[in-house]
Amino acid sequence: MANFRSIYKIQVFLTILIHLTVALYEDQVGKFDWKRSFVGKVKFVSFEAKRIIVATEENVLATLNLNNGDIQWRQILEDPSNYQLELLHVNKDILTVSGVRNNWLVRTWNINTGTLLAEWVINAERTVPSAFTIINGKILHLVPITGSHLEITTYSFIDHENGVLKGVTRIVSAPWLTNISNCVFAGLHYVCVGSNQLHFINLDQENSKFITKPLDTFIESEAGKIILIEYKHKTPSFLMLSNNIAKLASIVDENIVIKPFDLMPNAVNVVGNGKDLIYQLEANDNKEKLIRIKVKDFQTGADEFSVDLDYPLGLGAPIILGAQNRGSSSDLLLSTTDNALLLVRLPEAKILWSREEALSNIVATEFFELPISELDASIEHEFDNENDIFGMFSHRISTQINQFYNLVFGNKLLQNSGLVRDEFGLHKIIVVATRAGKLFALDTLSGSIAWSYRLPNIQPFLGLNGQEQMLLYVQRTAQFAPLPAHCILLAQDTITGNGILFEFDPITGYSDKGIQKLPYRISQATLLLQHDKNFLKPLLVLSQDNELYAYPRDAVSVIKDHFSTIFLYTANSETAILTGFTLKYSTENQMVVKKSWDIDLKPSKIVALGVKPQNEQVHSQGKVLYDRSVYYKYVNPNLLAVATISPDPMHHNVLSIYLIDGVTGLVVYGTSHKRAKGPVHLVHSENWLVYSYFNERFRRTELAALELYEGHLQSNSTAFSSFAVSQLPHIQSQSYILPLVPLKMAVTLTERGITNKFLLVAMSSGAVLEIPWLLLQPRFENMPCGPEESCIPYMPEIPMHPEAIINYNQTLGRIRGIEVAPARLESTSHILVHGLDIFYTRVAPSKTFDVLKEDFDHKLIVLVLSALIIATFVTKKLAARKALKQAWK
Amino acid sequence: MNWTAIICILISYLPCHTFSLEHDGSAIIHLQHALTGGPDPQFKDRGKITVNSLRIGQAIVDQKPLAEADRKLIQKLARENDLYRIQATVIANDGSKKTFLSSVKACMLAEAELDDRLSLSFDYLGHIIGVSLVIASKSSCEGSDVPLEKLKEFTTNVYVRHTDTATIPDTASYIEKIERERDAKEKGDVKDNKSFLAKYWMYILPVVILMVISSATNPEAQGGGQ
Amino acid sequence: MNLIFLFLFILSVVSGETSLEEDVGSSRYVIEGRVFPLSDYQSTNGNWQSVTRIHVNGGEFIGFVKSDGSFAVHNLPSGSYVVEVLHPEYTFEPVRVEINSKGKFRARKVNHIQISQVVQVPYPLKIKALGKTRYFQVREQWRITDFLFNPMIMMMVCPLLLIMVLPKLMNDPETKKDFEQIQKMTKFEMPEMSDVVTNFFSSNGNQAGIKDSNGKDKETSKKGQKPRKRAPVKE
Repeated sequence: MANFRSIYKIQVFLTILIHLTVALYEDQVGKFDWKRSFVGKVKFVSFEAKRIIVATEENVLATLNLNNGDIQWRQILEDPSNYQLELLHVNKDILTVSGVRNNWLVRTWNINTGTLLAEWVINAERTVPSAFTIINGKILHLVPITGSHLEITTYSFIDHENGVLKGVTRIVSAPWLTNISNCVFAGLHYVCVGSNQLHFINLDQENSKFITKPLDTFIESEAGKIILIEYKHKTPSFLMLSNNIAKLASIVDENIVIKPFDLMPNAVNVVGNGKDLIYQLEANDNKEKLIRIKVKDFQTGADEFSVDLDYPLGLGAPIILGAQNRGSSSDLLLSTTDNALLLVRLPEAKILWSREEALSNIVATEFFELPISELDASIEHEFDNENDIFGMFSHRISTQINQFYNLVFGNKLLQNSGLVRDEFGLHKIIVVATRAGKLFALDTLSGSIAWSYRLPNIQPFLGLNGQEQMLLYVQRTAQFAPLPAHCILLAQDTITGNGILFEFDPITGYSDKGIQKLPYRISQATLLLQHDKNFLKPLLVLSQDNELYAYPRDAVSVIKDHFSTIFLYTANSETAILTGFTLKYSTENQMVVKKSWDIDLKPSKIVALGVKPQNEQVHSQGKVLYDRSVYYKYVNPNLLAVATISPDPMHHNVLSIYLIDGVTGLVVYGTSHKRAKGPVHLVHSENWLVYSYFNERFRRTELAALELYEGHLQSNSTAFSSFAVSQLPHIQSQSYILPLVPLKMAVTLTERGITNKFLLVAMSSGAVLEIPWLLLQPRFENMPCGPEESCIPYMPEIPMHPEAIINYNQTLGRIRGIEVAPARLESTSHILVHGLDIFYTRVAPSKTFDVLKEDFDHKLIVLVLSALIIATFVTKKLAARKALKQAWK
Repeated sequence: MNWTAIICILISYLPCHTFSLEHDGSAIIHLQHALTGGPDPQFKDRGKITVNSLRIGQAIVDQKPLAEADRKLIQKLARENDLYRIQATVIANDGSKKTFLSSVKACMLAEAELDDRLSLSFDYLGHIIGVSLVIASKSSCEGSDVPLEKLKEFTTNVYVRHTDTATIPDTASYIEKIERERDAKEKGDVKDNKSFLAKYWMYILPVVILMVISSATNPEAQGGGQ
Repeated sequence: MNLIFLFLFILSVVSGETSLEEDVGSSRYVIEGRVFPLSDYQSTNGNWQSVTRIHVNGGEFIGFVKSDGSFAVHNLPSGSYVVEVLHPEYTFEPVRVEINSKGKFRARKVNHIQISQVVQVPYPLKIKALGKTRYFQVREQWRITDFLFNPMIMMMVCPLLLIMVLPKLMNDPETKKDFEQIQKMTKFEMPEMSDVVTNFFSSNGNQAGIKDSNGKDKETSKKGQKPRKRAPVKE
């Protein structure tokens, strides 16, 4: 109890410290935060003098600096799951067509500033996949009607009403037409391949018809399936690909002329210096220079020159996106299978810059503590050979001399490798897995990439609400020197859907086993707390047919005594059934999972699941009420929060929140919101849950907080057991208006859980707001609420102070996740916000109470102290003199 | 002693919240339990529970006393620290059927002398979502030996639990508060509720100190004069 | 004017309770408006249009600002929308735009607390920046005035000033005479006290409390010296 009072004192102290918002000072900008901006996987590209205009699959339009690859301006268009860019056309201004099905937005942009010039709408009747092109300043929309005809609608920019373009449609008979993917544009022509026939039409002419040519007149009949590839050239040309060999075909006077030479599938045309050249990439036998750029003459196919490219090893196979000739040199823009973007300058074949666009879509994140420096590690070795006293003595003396040397002359080791743990654990490595299947390690100090590793043919799991995620588990941290840290990535095979397991050292990226393909599909995985003799925490993976696997495999012997206390659960979003499993009946030889409970939420749909952070520490066990009695928190580490939405004829949608014990399956609490719809974001921490939803009745986003208490008696104070249910928790709840649209929510996490908690809300505007938990904590009814109780009076609308925006004016595009990790400094949390941009910062919810402020003036304090000391001596002397004088009087 | 307190808490929890059940309904629950233990247990009938009105939450429990053989089985389960599992088949009044599994530690059930609690959770429409068996206890156990005479009959308490109606942001009282403050301001009687002393202490204090100094010196001055 | 307002209010109350969710019609509408930057903004940032975005319902629909500040968000079905203007450096007030199924527009201020209260704003929208967004705390600078007006310092300095200045005044013979006259006229404590103070600190040394000729002592004198000073008085 006495202990409790002291904790309470700390809490009050911290509460006084916080001033609701803990804002940055302007001079702190960029001191510990950084931001990296991305555009996504490039879909269309256009070179324009000193810049490259890119349109990406993230539905982003941007211009990149040709010389360094920096983003000059970037416009984020609509959500890529609803809208896709279909056309990029550059002619003085940039014209884009983006949209989906039958609604299209046509926009023109200023090439220098990225300002919108004009915007129109195209509403088509048909919803089939279609193609756009621009001919003579008019947009042509080509809609294929399978087995019947092609509809060509011409939109001119003059003819519009209220921004909606009006088109003139003509129908061209094409009974052979099956799929638009068999067709390409070739200059003003549109070319399609049918069965054994090639069809093309001149789009520029009125009333033109498809001209049909039999394929076998220019290609051997046994060539197999023929794919057409676009090839931009002044004469209408295209590539015909069969058996991975491309032939260049041109349309000349309503006839197709095939060039006699073979090409690679990705060949581009570059015109310059009076030459008409074809650039293509070939694989090279040379191990050091994997890629060869070959240049051929357009007319003859003769090799002009070829140059070997010093291609970085970590990147995937490249294709040429575009090229331009700039007098003596020419530039090639390459895109790789792992979404990197490279600019190669010819003729010297130098990679001018590269952009890792895979980072624009992160699906898993983990923070890693760095290993201690070699010097610190050597101290730990002192007792390795205990018998040799002289050896130990000399060892200690030498390390201490080294320590002293480092103290005086600065740490050379730290400067050399850089990746060494610092005093406060502020320097960490963030390992991120991207959707493209590439792992990156980011340095928290600079944001630079420490290492990257490409895993071919892997894809993320599809979670609730179509959220893509991979799983990263920390099996061993860097604390166990000399053993390196150990991390596991779980993902899915793109082809089979089976599990992929990748073990690696998060600090160096080294993997001794490489990619391991698992013979089953993964349903659930969990990391256990026990560790084996190598300090590895065993990872349990549950397959979809309820078989259990442990990694490392011999870890079963470690966990065999704990089988009866290991429980798993799965949540099926399709059937809305939650199932609990027990490992009780496992033996060392065979692990069996047996169902122990189930919950059937039908006819509702599970939309969100909230689990507590595994490494969370709950410091104070209760809340001190105004009468100095303690109200104990209900801290159940096994508690799950489940949000479901059920369509309801009366209330449109009903949102229900259930708190379920993951071990027994007991529904601890349930609550429902009528006329509420998603997106639902859950934040579950300590003894509380915060969730956001959209209130359809009042058309506003609301935030609700639930807090669970055991009451004035604590039931199982030593260790929590889900089986021992002595009483159901008391629920305090309160809800608020959130005057913004949240995209993601998270809560700060600190080492010991003493520091106050902040809720981090990523908004649709691109800002990340911190809201103190104290502001949301449900107020007790009939109890005073004031600073003495560390309670803020209730306000229905959560105030939005711009000072509480942790990324200040660094607006972030399309935020997909907020990741939080504790620093070794109790006051501080690491925050990584990712989406189209990556933003890293540190937050201190109770201010940095455990370190001196950075603006602490050491000089002033030394000055004041020395002045005081001098003054003391001077006055002493003066006083003595005075006393002497007095005595003589 | 403890048990009564627990029951009170469980019960008092029920009426203190408003429930949002829209249509009343009934449910019949067929309970089966597994007394054999092991990874693949055999379930046999335990009894029937009828909930006539979900809104009122009253349940009629129909369970027979345990046969001698079953009692021994429970004793064995408890001794071996196995799980006691029940399978509940819930038939709602619209005829739909759902089956739920729930497990407790057999030793806890035995220690509680077969006094168990059945929690029936319903969603806002009255669909059943979960059936859980709960033993009211303050601690968990790792196997125990309970005499057979204490394992006679289940005394089952059934708790019908609905979802709460969630709170909505309390704007009305806030607006009222704001208006009250505004009215007060308009009337002009917004007094700085700090006391005179609290406001002007920094001016008063030096004066007081001077007074103190003078009063401390005065007597001596007078004394000196005398 | 009052009548209209009343009518609006009633209308809004009705709509606030029943028809907040309107049926989505098939026709599509355009929200139009114009952003007016603050005057200092065009001069400092010539390219403010390209970094300004219009979010409707939190990014469900997006609009961009043209070089003249106008914007249009296309393809909206009838319904109620919150239009936000986003700029990294400036704050704008959001507006709620309601489009009914007949295509009539109504714009009003966003008020989440009082849903039924309608403060209409003109449509097409005219949105002006509220001000520069203040993301940063201002670092407290050390200023001499702040330091001096700190109550603690005032408390220390004021008596000190009195102590230092009054004796100087007293040393002036004319004022001394004046004081003596006053003293004679009123045999109060006050002048006596000032007298005490005067005599006390006339020999203004490093040590605050030096004993005066009258043998009067003072509380502020150092405790260690007290016994030595008191002794002669008692003798």
